[in-house]
Amino acid sequence: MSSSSSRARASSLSLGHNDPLVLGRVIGDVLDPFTSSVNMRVVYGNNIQEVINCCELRPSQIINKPRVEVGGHDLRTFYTLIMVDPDAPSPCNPSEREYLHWLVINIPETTEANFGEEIVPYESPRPTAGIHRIVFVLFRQTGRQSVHGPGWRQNFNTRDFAEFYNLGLPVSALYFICKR
Amino acid sequence: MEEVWKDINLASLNDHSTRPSSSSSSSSSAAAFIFQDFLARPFTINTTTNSDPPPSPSPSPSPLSPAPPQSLTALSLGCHHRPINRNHHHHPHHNPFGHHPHPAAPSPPSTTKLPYSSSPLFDTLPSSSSLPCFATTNRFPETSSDPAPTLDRRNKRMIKNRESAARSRARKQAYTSELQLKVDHLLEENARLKRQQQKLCEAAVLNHQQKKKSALYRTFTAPF
Repeated sequence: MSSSSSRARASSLSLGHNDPLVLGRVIGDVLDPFTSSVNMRVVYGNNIQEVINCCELRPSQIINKPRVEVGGHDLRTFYTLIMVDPDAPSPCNPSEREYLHWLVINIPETTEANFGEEIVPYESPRPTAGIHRIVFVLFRQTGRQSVHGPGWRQNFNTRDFAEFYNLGLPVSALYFICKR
Repeated sequence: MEEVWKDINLASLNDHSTRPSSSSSSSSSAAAFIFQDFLARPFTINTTTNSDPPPSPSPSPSPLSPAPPQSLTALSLGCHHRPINRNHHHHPHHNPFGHHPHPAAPSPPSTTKLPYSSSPLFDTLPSSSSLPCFATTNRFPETSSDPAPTLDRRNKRMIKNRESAARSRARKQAYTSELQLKVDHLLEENARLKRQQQKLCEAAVLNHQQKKKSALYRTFTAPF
């Protein structure tokens, strides 16, 4: 089970067929199967709305960037956070999959995304058609990195990006759904 | 009965510009459209196949038995939607069965009758990208009669609806599963915290009792 909301212990749980990420097809459409090894907590609205897998958020709740907390103990380990919409512009015709909403690198373990380097600024998702999944993915970096952001947000490919920058498999992932 | 079918075929051949309603053998209008389409396309080339006696239905799957000659043309057409069929018609009659490759569709009967009827297949596919290859509606691009675009649109909508329903079911399952995980985790945390609180409480009580014993007391002794 890939646990990525606030869990007290850093869980090294592998995916089962009951995992929400598998059932919601996030594993498959966006990510490859992985084992969660870091706690990630995403909270919108000034600590009001904690994101759990497949919960629904309204566009008005996600206007401002959330607080993304990275668990763990070692400040010397750095992480990359990617936020994408694989269902852009609409789930039945995802021609812009994946639409990149946010890209932050060099986030130190135990801290938040604010402490990292924002390569692609946060853009609030505003679905026009259908029900979209919005996915947060966390990768562990091998060290501090320098990354060139893509020149556009459409048709981003998380797998390719991770391969190019040697990020390996994700260490945590979380998604919510949003509609107009 | 086969003679009846032959008659109908000949009638359609003679009068290929109109759509004989008798040729619509199946009850549903969608299937009728498909048959009409099958008949309409190679009416000129199929004279050889249709005039021959129908082959034994043993090479073909049994559901096709009610209409062997039509199924012949249907099979030879439906599976290829290219004019390679025309080359086969000089061969002996049973060859079209052997020649044409069965497409990756669920079963030959459904490809002949209703290309879009493989509904059990669609229900299980949540992602939209894998469906279009089965559900392509461009099999008969030449037909430009009125029923065709409407049925295409209807079919497309049906497919989209199925995809959307599958996604919705997947979402529901994913959310339920997540909630179950959360509940388990929270119950565990709750139990742990209660135990912790119990211990702290006991420790506090002990501490308080000890403090009472060593508390300061006023006495009357003074330095002077």
